[in-house]
Amino acid sequence: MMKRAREFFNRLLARTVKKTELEVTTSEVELTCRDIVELVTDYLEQALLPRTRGKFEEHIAGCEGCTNYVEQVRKTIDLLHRLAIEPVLPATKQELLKVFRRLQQG
Amino acid sequence: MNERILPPQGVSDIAKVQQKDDTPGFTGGMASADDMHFIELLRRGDEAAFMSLIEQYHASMLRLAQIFVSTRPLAEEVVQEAWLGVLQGLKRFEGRSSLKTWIFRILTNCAKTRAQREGRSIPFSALSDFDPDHNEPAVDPEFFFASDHPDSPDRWISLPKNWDEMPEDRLLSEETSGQIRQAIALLPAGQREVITLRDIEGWSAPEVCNFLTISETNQRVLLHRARSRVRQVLEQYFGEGRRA
Repeated sequence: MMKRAREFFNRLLARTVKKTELEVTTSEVELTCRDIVELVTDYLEQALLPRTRGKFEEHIAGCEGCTNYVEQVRKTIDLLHRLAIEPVLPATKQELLKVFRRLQQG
Repeated sequence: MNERILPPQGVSDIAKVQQKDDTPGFTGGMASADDMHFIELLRRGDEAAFMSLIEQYHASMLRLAQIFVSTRPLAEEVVQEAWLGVLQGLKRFEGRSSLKTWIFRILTNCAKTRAQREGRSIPFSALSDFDPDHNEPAVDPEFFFASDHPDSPDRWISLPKNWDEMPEDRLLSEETSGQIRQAIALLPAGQREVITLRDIEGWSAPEVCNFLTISETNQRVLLHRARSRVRQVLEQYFGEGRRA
């Protein structure tokens, strides 16, 4: 039990953690490419504090790799949304309409 | 086919109990005046209203059902069941949730019940997604210089590709869609739900938080992991995202 708990804790420590908002806003550090890929969702979700947002935009303005990365994520979202294009079969509609009518009568 | 759409056990109960959206801070939880008007039309047996409801939600319900059950035919049965639950529950709809939320609650209840019967473990435990084993970085660390690199600490070793330079028919091919579907199918359940609702179905963040009863932060973490994973799969598929 203890061993499991320790392993769990070690994994927690070892994992890659993105810079927290607090760290970013209270320090003068610049964001690295590695930070950008972890902050991209917060950025696109408009969930960054203004100062962090500024640093984010400043970084991508001068970094081709990160510009491409953010565009890739945007494109991924577009491609995901395209999966929603799926017409309902006429047979399915007719079948459901029958159920609707039956319930109206009953 | 008809016996499939006979009243499944318990569906009307499901429709009865799942009407409340009281997540704090979510103001869009109640039925709108439009929703109530729509319900009134449906109660009166307006077929055009029912058809437009099908147009609007059926395909979306099918995709969502497939998060829970293993096959497309099973998902189709689940959606049939859900529609029946919706129609039977119309009389009792009080507008304590939006019409959309109410319909999708019925759908997920039907899907979960079916998944249980099928012996499938039910997804949606956002908690399991916070297992550190799933906590991969968005991009494989091998793509970056080390943090102690003298010139370019934590910068790209080779730049991600500009996908705009790729032929559009490749980008939009059925094969690409297949890659995305497969990538989603392999995600942990909570991530799968969030990315399906947010990015495929286009729900807003508050809608998803409300529907799955998770916090904004958790929603964003799940979305981040899921999107990062799908992007990664696409980049591998589109060829190497590397330049010499």
